[in-house]
Amino acid sequence: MKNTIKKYFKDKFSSKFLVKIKNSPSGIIGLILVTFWILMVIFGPMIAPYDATRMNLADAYQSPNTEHLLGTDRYGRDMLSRTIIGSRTIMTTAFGIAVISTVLGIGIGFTAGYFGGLIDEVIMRFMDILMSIPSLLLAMVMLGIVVTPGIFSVILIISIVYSPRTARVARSALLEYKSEEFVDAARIRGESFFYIVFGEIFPNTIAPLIVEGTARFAYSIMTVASLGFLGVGLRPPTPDWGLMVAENQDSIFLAPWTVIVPALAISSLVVGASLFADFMDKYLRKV
Amino acid sequence: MLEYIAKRISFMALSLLVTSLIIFLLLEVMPGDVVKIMLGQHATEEAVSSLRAELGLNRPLHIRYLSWINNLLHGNLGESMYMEGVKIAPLVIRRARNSALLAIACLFIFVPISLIFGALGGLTDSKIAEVFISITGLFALSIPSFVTGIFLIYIFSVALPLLPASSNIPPGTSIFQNLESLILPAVSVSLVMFGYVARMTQSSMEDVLQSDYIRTARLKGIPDKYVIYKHALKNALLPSITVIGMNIGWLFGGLIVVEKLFGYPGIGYLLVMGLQSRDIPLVEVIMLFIVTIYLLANFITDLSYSILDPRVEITKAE
Amino acid sequence: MCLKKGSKITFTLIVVLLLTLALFTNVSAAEKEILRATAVTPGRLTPGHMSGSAAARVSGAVYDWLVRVKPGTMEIKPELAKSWQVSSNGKNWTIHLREGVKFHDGSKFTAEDVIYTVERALDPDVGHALKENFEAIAEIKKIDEYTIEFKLKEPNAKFMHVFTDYNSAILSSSYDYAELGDTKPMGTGPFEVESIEPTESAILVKNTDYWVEGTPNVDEIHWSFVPDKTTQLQMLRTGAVDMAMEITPQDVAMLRGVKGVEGKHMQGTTQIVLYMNVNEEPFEDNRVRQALKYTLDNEQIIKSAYGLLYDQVEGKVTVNESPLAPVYPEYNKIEERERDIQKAKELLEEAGYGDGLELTLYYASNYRVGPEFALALQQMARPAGINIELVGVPRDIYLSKHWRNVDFGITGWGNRADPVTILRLAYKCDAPWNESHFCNEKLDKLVEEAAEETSLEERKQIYKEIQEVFQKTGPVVTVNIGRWHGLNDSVKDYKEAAPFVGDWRYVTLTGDRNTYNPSEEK
Repeated sequence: MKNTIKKYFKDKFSSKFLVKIKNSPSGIIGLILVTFWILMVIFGPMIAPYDATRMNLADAYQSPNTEHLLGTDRYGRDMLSRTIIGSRTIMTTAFGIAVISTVLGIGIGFTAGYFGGLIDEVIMRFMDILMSIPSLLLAMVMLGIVVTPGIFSVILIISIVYSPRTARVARSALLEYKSEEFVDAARIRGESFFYIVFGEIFPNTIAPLIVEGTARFAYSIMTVASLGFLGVGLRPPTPDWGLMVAENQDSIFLAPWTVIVPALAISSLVVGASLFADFMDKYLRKV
Repeated sequence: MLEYIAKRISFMALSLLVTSLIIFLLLEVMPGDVVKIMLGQHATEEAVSSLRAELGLNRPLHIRYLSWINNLLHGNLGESMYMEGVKIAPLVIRRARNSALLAIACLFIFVPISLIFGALGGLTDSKIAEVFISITGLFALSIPSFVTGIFLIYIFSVALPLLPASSNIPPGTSIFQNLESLILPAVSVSLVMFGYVARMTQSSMEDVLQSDYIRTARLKGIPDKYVIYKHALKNALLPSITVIGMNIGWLFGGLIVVEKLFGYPGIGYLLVMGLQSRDIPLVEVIMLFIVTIYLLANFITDLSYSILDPRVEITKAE
Repeated sequence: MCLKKGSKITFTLIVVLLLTLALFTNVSAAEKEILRATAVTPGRLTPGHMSGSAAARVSGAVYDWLVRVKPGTMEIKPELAKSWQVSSNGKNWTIHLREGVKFHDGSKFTAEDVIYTVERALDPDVGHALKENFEAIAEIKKIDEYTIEFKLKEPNAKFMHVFTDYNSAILSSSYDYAELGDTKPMGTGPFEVESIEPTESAILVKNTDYWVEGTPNVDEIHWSFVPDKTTQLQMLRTGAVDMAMEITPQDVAMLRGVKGVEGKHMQGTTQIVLYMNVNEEPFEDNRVRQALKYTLDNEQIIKSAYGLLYDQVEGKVTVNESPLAPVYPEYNKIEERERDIQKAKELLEEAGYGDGLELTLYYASNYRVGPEFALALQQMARPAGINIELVGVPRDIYLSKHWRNVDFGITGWGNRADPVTILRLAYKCDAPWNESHFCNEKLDKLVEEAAEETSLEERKQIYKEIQEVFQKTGPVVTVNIGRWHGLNDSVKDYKEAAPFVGDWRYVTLTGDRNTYNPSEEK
């Protein structure tokens, strides 16, 4: 299986990828934006001029100037540093959610799809029921319960909320190949469940799963930012962009930059992720 | 048809039952002693335990659940735990009406605009226009509604003071007398759905225009205008109905966030307040309410889709 | 078309009548003086269950009290209680009630109602906030329709003060407060409740039978409950409301640049209290407590909390080490501790923390100046080697999860007319809300002495000793903070005394109401 996956990635993501993306200006922009923020995550702490949580009330509400390029907030914290460091939390959280929800989805969806029958019925019905609760609603109520949510609980809960959707995708991906000849052949050979599913079927499903993963990443950013805004995400003084918008909303007349800066940050990341996910969708579908 | 409806309704009932169980389990695990919060910092141990007994919080879980369901089915939505004596039903109904108004405003705004945009985008030969609409749609749908709201507030309330930055409904008046409070929130929520529907309409329009059906019609010599308006539009708009239906989920999420942003007195804002004050009965009722409306909306969408499209058989949706 | 003369006349009459009605309604609407105010959502409104200033202000218009505190002081003045006497042993209080007062539902106010109010407070099933305070009463005797005698268990010079607390509003013995207390409050106050929309608004209308002649001055009060401070301020700035209750010092500074509105200061005994748990390490050791206190610079604390408003706040905001606020007549100005990092380090060394001390401080992130104080503390303690980690959570979570469970926290307190109440609540060995678990026998004795001492001079001496106990071994630092409201210039004569109870009787609206013009800003 490792070899098939390696081959798959080499195939899809080699020069063909670069060629394809050159033709899609939106794809390029998306990739650039996401890469920019990934770089911020990696190099952020080195670039950030100040400590993102260090408060200094004497410096409160400074509009952008040479000392504080993006100004300061009500507690005198440097907006530039907060935005840069804030990218780490949102990116890691969104990435974590994308991965875990996809893994959960694979687990549930593959099981349902492979075994079919009653198991499939029950699992998918339950997933449908879970989906009858709008995802933001479920996430905010669950996180409103966990009083001091850390990154892990946020990732876990939102992944759980997303899992019915990823499970659906995984299941239909698996179903496409379930009745293929090579699967029957493997079954006759007496191969185990794990081998059949992960050795034979899975490599073929990578494309839709990646598409789903990148889409999940984009949705996760939206959800994490919204939950932060509602106050049920990461708690202060963590620099969470959504939380920053909520915290500073009452200063929008006095100090609009305290709200506009995190709003722009969220927009740029989420648009970049969406553009990129959109491109991956088109690219991986066509190939 | 009837069989389909019956099946759907029974599934909805099952969903509601399971959801109510999930909601009940989730919210009974809540930390933060509601009783202590209710009685304030001044609460003595006696008062806390007596109120806890009065509210029936000492009974075993399954009794509490069944009693709650029983009450709901009899129309007794209970009392708020945080604000004593305040009956949940009239409060929720009043707030739900406000949210409904906001939702209707959204639908009125975004549905025609996005359908028109999307259709135009699909019909046009200009690649630039096509891409423009597609990208605008993507921007609109990916930017969270509270972020859009912030930008709108900045432009329309701070930079040019045209519209209120928050919904102020003076006591004794209703939303209808304060319609300008509706505008910015409605646009904020609509933008996300505009993005989805416009793009979906655009791509389905493109698909339809390339279908055999349309090509045959064109070859037959039927004038373009007729082809477009009679056949293409109708078939292109159908998937959009599904998308509108799919977006009802987003609509609720958007409403919650936008209501909080603007302080709009709707059910989403009530939910946020209820969570903050750990008002369990209130949150339970609001969640159930939203899920019910969501299920109904999906059902109606599916139903109208299958009615409108004669080619689709009513089968169990996969 | 030929109309009969008769119908023509009728028609004209009807038109004239309608026009007059229209005119009449317009005119009376214009003449109604409506005071519009906004505050955060008040939570419960039933006396006994009110927690929070918003509730106190709203109900301040609906109810009356036996006595009220004179604004700016801690003296009490008669209200529903006309006069009172105390026997020479300080235990028997005879209260004479005012006659001719009616409840909003028309029933007469008599001694029955006062007895009902007190008995209800003592009822364990009600869970009344003031139950402990009223337990000082051994016996209630009704002398006649307007006279009551309270026999106390112990002598108490300040017994009447318990009736100034906002939760001791006088209730009607014939009204169902359990059912209607939050949805249709009813009392003898200057305003009646016309409607309450929970979490949204309340409309109060003038009580035309109110017992204070010539009041209230406004016809209606319209409350908008807005949890969001920005929205409140925006409503104030644009003239949508005339009053925004409890605004922060930053808001006051911001309003300085806005014409037509102003931030007005109200003196009170609101405090935020930093407490240290003396039962656990490291605060078990008094040297550590002293060390922490030595890192504090009072001026710095006030400056951080009030920033631009420091000049306004000087003298009004104070920091000290006991729960006794300067506004109490019993307060003594004792020598304050000066910041001394060297001394702090020495004490820590002695106590075994020469290598530094790690602490976690819990506080309510959305309450008064808690966050600013916590921040300032963190910065001031650092040079002495004390590293404080800050954990801020919303107030309700703080109160339910952390308060009294953690070793180091900041809590909001205050507003009892009698300092003994707080001492009994939080600092005696068996006190129910003793967040610091402080237990000092000498203090216990002093508190009871103070409660029984009727002479102010003597009491002052006793409190001096109490203050000294706190200074030497106390586990708290208190910041006595002020209160500000945002008022439109047209609002005059709003009074508010320490216990948050707003006096809405004399408020008047003068001149042009919506004086705010956006183009005139700054």
